[in-house]
Amino acid sequence: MKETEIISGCLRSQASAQRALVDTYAGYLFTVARRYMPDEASAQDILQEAFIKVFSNFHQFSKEKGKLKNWMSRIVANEALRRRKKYMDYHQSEDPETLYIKADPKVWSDLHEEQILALVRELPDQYRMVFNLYIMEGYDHKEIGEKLNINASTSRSNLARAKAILRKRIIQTENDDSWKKINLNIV
Amino acid sequence: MEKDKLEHSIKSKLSSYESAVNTDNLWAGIQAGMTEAATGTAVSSASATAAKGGILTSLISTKWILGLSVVGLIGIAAIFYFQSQHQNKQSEPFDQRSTPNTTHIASTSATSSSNKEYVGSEEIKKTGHNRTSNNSDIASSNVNSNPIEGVVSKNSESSLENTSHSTSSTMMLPQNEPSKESSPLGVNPTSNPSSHQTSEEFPSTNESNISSSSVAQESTVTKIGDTKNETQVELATEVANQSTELEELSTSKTSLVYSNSLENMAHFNLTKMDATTEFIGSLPPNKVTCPSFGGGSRGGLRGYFVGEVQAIPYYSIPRITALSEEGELWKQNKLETEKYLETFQVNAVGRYQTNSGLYVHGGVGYGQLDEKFDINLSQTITTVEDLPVIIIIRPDGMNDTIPAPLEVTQDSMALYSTYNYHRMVEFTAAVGYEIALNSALAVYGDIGMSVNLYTSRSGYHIVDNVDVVSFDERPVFKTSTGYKLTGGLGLRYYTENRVVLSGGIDFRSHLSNWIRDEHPIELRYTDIGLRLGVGYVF
Repeated sequence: MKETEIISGCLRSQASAQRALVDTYAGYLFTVARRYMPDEASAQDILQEAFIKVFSNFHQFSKEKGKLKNWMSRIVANEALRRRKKYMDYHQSEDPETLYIKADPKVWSDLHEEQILALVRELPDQYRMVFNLYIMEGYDHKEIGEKLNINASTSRSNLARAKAILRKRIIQTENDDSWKKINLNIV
Repeated sequence: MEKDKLEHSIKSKLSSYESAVNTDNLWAGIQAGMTEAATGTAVSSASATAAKGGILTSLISTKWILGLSVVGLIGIAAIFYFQSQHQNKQSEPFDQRSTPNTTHIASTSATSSSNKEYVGSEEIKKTGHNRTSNNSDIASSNVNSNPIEGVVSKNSESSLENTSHSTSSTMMLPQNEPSKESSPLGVNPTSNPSSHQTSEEFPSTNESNISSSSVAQESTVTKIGDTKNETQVELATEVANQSTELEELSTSKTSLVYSNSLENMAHFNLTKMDATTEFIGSLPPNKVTCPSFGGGSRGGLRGYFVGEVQAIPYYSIPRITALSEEGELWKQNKLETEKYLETFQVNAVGRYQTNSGLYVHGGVGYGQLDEKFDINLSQTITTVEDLPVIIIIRPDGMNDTIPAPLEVTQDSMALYSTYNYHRMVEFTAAVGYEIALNSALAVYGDIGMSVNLYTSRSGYHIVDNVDVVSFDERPVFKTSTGYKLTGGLGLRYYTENRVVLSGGIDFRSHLSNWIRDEHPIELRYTDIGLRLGVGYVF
């Protein structure tokens, strides 16, 4: 089913179109949810709630707002933020020494997506949120500050720390067999 | 450069990466959530308990017991408080209480007024009217018709005061022994030789039986007998019947006002109507009678202000309207177990209640409605089997191949329940009417409107007893204000110490649809409850 057919069907609340939407985008949106949530169960909850919201508010989608995929991705992200506000402690800290670790750029391209995802999910909550919102969703620091109720400068700082932590852990695991232990079968 | 490489690498890898996900399970959960969202109903552990226990369990749940306990404690505290206040008042000298077959005059200044009356009597004596105080009282009480009117008019101010305290003045006098020789109103001419003039105006009679019992702060007309004097007969009849609600004994500045007029239970206050003069005043009796007591004929807008705390447990009945086939399908799948609802309201109400029985009240309350819907969720799952053909080996050694079914269709049935918790602040305004059954008991009825603001609408749903998803705010519900038609019918009991207890039926009909317009059903409720209240008459 083409995306236009899916959209028109979802606007009429057709179950077949909704199912097609789920089949088409569930994998990608689950990745988005997993980027925000450290455990699989929470990510699955968020994905399901996000789809319910997508279908309940599908009339609000318009092509002027961008691609359907990006629109749903933001719904997943917002759902993750809403969940985070309720359940997560936002006052974690990280060792500042990680700021000064450097990594070989060649490493990035050699990593599997699940490895990158695992690294991102291991980030402390406040860094992971900023990293995802800035790098993946494309929000600027002012918008991130409003969403997370922090200053824009704090958002910049958290992003820098998130990157530093990622570099550090990639270097640490460059010669580490632990990468091989990552379970790629998520579900 | 490194920065760009990091961001680019991560973004490029993750932006297109699709994690493995079981879409069948996901779709089943979404369907359940969508159906739940369409119905606007929900589930909770507490409500699940209520569902298992039935409506009786729901009615006596902890929340309701707590609410009723709070109201009860407030009531008990109020009774104790006003009981102590009442005892203090009893120790004061001028608290008057009625007893059957007696007439009381309650006056905050009985002593002073009695003294004045006595002085007044003295003044009258000085003017040559040789009467006892009793005579002066009685005479002045009948100032309009009594032959001594002209005499009294010479000293109208004092005599008017005497009029207003006609009974009180006797309190200060030595008790007259009931005697056949006494005057009709307790005057014994023989005991007062100088009262010949009075005797002409109030001919003595052997049958006169009005006696005054002088008690320090209380005067009681214990018996009213025959009299030969027309005026006295009129007075005696008037007092005996006590049928006038507002008895103005004088056209002057002072009057005697009955607060209640039922025979044998009259309470009347001595009230000086002239605002410019000193307040002789009326102390409202501690026993508050129904404001409408007396048939409401006293009318007007005068009345009481009553503050009341109400606790109302409700039994709620959902009214569901399907707007489409989808909605109708949901109604068909809905099980009849949603009747287990917990609805409760606590109100603080102010009521102005006129003597005519009409009242208006307004108040603010906090309410909850916990609802549960059970739905049979049926779905058809089609799976593709990996069996292209079935091979049948014949006896002759040849094989037959039969195409295998490519699709296997399986119907599944799931029970899913949704629970919703609605919390709201409600503002109510109503008008009502109260009819007194006797001095203490009244029946009331009222009708009005209420506006509620939702403070939260949370909930979650369960599929086959497994928690699937919860909602802090249910998007299926409207968050705008809701309107209700309210009404009540019940009894009020006016206790001593101004405490009012009430109990009755409360009715609410939700006028506003709870579900957002894009959903295929409309949901409203009808609530029938037990309104219990404790109030205080100010």
